[in-house]
Amino acid sequence: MPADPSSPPVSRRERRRRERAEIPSGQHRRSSQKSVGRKGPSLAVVSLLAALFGFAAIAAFQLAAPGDEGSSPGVADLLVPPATIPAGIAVDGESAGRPDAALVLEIYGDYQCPVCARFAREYLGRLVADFVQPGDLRVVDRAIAFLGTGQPDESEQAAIGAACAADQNRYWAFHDILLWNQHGENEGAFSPERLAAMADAVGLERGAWDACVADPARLAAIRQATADAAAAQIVSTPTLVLGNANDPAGGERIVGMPRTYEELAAAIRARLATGAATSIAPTVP
Amino acid sequence: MKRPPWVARATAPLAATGLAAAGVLIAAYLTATRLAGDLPACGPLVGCEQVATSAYSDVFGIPVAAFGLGFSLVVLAAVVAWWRTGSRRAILAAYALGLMGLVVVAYLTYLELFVIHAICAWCVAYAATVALGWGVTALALRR
Repeated sequence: MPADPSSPPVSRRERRRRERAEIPSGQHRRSSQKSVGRKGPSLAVVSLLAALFGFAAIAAFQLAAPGDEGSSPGVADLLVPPATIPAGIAVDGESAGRPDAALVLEIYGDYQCPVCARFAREYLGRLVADFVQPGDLRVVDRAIAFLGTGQPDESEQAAIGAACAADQNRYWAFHDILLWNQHGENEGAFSPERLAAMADAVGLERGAWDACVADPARLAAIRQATADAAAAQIVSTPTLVLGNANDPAGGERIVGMPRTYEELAAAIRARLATGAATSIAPTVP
Repeated sequence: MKRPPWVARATAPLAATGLAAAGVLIAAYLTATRLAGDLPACGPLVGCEQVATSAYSDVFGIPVAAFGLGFSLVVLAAVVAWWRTGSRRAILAAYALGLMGLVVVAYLTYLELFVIHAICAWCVAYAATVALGWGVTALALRR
């Protein structure tokens, strides 16, 4: 109740506003509050607290983000894709196409890289039909592993699984099933159980495959391949290297997925016609 | 009624409000596409799908964009309060939130550049609204 019955009741907020209005500008004081400084809590304290909260949020994020066990994909929901490399094309391990093809396209990819999967789904089949089948191009898949975070490292394990499938001359079937069954990164898409289910799905002889996957030399080989690629400045995937078969070192490098298939096809056609490099704009990082 | 110094110029609160509103729109778009199971439209720019499908696009099962949406709504409320009332507490809140957000978006941009190896234009635009919005409050507080 206000002390003076003649004045109307004034809310606390209103009273504070009036108080504030009476103080000349520049000398504002929060008299009604426990103030730290002249203008309430000092800017330095607020800044420090805010930055600390920011770092705490990052720490929470780091604890939660890699992994996310809740949504691990199961073995029951495997997609069995159509074959990218149809029967009748000469396959030798990671390589597909006639050994005497004029051009070689190396495809560097991490099996957990989503753009690599898009490249395989959208461009690889067309490349095979347009250039590999007629015998002009040989494609060589170069698996590297740098996106994995946990142990076992899913990028490495996927690449090892594919290399072991190559031992049974089923590299491309394993390549396809891996890329069609990505599930985020490091979320269990390439867990040991799921890789084993993929091996079964593409009809591998499991005894040999299991023994191969467990061989530490395979892990060393994929790590070496990744280190070699990094030494050659291949650090993002997909990276394509298009070169003449007789001059493997003179390849033209295409970093990322070309924006259109036609762009890539034109580069291949130009090289087929002249044997020389054309420039193709790097696109997807 | 004389205005306290930090409302003397309406430009700063208006700019901060506009930036926060832009942040809300971007985060709402990214949250909506994520919840609908779509990928954000990148236009001629690329990298959105790589960022949107990466393991870092959600945390505790909640899309990162949804945190951004919640954050931007709170910032928007603070800067609108600053604009309408000139309250120092409101601008301090906006400043503190902005600094916290700046730390987080700096980390997320680091993730894009060095971990995911892709940069998403929407995320960069969002980070810019956070950084600029914080800059506006910091400048206004210095006056």
